Amino acid sequence: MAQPTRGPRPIVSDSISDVAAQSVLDGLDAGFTIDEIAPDNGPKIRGEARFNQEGLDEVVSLSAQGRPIPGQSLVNDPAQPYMWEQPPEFANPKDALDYMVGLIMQPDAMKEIVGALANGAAVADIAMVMLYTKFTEGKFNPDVLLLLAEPVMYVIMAIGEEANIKYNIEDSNDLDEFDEDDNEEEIEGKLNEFRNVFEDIKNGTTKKGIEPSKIQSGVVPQNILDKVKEQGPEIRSLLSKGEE
Amino acid sequence: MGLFKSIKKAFKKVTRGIKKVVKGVVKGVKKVVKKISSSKILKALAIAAAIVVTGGAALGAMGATTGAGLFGSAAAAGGTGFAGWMTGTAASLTSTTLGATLAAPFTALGSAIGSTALALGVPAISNAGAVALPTVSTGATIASTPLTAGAPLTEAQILARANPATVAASTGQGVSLSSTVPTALSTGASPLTQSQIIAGVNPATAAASTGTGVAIADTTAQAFASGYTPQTTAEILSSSTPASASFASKYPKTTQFLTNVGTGVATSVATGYAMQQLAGDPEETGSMAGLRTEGASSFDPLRVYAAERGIADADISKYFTFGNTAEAGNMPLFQQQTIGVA
Repeated sequence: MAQPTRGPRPIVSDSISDVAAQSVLDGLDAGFTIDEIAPDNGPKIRGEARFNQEGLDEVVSLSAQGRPIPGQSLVNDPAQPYMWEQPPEFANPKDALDYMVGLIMQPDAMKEIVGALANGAAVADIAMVMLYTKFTEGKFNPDVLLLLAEPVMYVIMAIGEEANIKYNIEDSNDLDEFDEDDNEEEIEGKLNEFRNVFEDIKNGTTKKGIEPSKIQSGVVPQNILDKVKEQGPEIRSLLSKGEE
Repeated sequence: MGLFKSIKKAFKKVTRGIKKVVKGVVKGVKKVVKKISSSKILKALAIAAAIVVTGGAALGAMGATTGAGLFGSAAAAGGTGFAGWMTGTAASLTSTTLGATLAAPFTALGSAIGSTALALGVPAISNAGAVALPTVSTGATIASTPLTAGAPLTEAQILARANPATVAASTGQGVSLSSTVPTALSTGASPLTQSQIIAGVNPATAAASTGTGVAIADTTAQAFASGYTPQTTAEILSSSTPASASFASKYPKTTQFLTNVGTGVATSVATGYAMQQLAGDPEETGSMAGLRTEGASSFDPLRVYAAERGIADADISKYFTFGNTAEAGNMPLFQQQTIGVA
């Protein structure tokens, strides 16, 4: 394991993503290799969502069970408000995050999260369900909920990484999205390489510095040179138009 | 737009932000490290973010240990891995998000979470569990060996009330309690006789008198072998004849019928009582419903005063007298004489 050449630099940011990105770059700069930061644990389990008719039927039956009549909430007794209509339990996002991470880190919750990720559930969906449920329980208000979205998603992602699962981040099957980007980038890189070579040939840059006087004698056998001299005008370029 | 939809829309923004950051970091990292996949950078980001959010405790909780080839000691700031190195950053960063107080509970949770993940076959955490599991199994093996191989206490030692722990310490190889007790009991001196048992002789007293102890097991066995049928504890306590079969076992159908009727009657009575309590007794005119209580307003002195004089509550202000007694003519207040002003 490489020894870091220096300590971490202080990072100030209002975004967890930004801090994580800067930390990774800082770690690389300090002497860590990417394998030390994110060790390879072999092939990952693909958390691919598969169509399930039973699941779809259940969702349809749940949605068909009726919804509140428009305006129903307005006739509720003001003396008995819903949990989310009352002052929240956690007004401080720090306390709320503390509470949420504590819940996620419970062994039972971890087991469910790992199972869900392996079955193709998206990180965003899991995080939203967890946060929305706690919001309806009156733990925090919608503003704090949105502040918690990013850190909670990252914690779930870390659990997925620890479990060696290739998970979906958004609601669709996007687990190969980054690989596709890599492939596109690779193809683009090879195309650029080809274009550069082609341009070089086109511009004759490959001939630069090549002069007959600089060619060392004896490099090409004399009999071949004689043949070239003899058949010079008849030698056709490989790219020339063939005989019709 | 409903609240849920708004939240979902905001979530999508956050998700896209994460993806954007990953793609941005991929470009940044590729400048430093060539030929690296995006998923690896995503992993590094997720690890770094989890360290920031939880102060490194989450990864420690998931079984990451120093030298385990994972993230290094995440929970300890002095760790040698990336997480340990970064924890200093995380600690300073998270002073506004999460404090160091999180580290302790997560460290405590570590073994439980690690074992859960291990049970799920999580490869990344398996090396943490591999350290813990053999320790437990080896411990069990060690514990069982001396218990079976230890020398038992002798009869003399038991009679002398020697402490097994002291004996074990002196022998240096332990004492097998399982073999000690049956041996000692089986080699006991003469058992209690049947007459002694019937007479309720205390075995301890008998043993003390003989000086060699009494084997309780043999005593009981002998008593039963001699054909004596002892009374049950309940019979002895009640000093009565053995109980006959219950009514229910003799007449199951009748019992069932009576149970149904009894339950039905009891339910009806209870229902009737509850209804009466709620509605009041209809035959008692003017009575209040059973569960109602006299309100505070009924005890209001002013209302009592008004009720006694047949005055409507709403009009009571007309009857304020303030000393305007019958002797004074009961003149209404606003008609009383006032001091005339010239």
